[in-house]
Amino acid sequence: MTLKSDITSGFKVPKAYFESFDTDFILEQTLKQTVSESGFKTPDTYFEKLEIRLPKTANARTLQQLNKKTTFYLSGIAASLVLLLMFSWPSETPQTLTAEAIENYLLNEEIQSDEFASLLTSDELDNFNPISISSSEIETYIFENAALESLLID
Amino acid sequence: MQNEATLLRQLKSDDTKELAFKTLVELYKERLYWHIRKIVISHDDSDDVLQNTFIKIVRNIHNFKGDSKLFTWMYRIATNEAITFLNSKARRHQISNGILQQLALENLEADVYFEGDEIQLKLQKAIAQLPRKQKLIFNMKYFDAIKYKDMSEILDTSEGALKASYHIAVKKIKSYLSDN
Repeated sequence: MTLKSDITSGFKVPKAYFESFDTDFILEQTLKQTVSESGFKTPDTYFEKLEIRLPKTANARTLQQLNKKTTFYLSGIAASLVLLLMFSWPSETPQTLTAEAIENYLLNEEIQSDEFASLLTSDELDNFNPISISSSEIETYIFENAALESLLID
Repeated sequence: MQNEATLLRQLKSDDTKELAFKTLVELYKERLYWHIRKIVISHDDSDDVLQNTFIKIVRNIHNFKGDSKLFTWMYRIATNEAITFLNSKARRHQISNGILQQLALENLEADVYFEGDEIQLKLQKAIAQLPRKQKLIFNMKYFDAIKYKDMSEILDTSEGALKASYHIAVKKIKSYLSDN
């Protein structure tokens, strides 16, 4: 008994699948014949020595992970201190700086979060909790809002 | 190799998470590093982004519901971290992302951690001409051979769109290399 020549498997492929496959494959291969490696390298033994420095505890949040509101709160404190210093410091050429200008300066300059932190004592930082939202809720919100996080990465 | 489900369970348990995290880092550090490196270009920046990526992974592992593969979820975080890093860097220096990319390429020629020859440098310049998403797709497919199905989960884009975008990217790069 022989199989009928008109019996097919019933399987189909998308229209022009093989033509497209050939074209893409050949295109990629011809490029790889020209250049196939990125050229990047790492320092010697980088991966062997790589350590991921995790925060010690779940509560040990760094200022980087605080949300936008908190950053503005800190900026406000910093701005207040700067204003206080400005008015208490004797000066022959008094300048008129608005709180907004100082806040913009603090936000736009390369001031690291640890510099903000240096304005506060350890006790103040430990007890710092200006909003009544749990850590996990804040982290979840930040995690799901990459654009917001981009403001806080530095 | 450790089963992904087992590793995930251990990562979510207080008793085993520390050891499981070390295993996770060992398994994925190189793949994630190279993925990040191709986006941010500089080694030092890649190291920072890799650190942030793993910290974010461990902080959010309890949110991972298993709707996708663990590795695609991690790639997604790494991609977002790298892009966020570039946006932030551009804003900090008050320049556009395009200028930032241009500066990174100029620095590449003197970078001790780039050992590419002339054609590899030209390839990086060609990749830099691509739109951001097309760049990601090209790097993931061309250098890392990531399957379209996985890439679809990472970039939240249909497989058809990814294939089309890759095809166009390869053509653009070939054209750039032959014209320059």
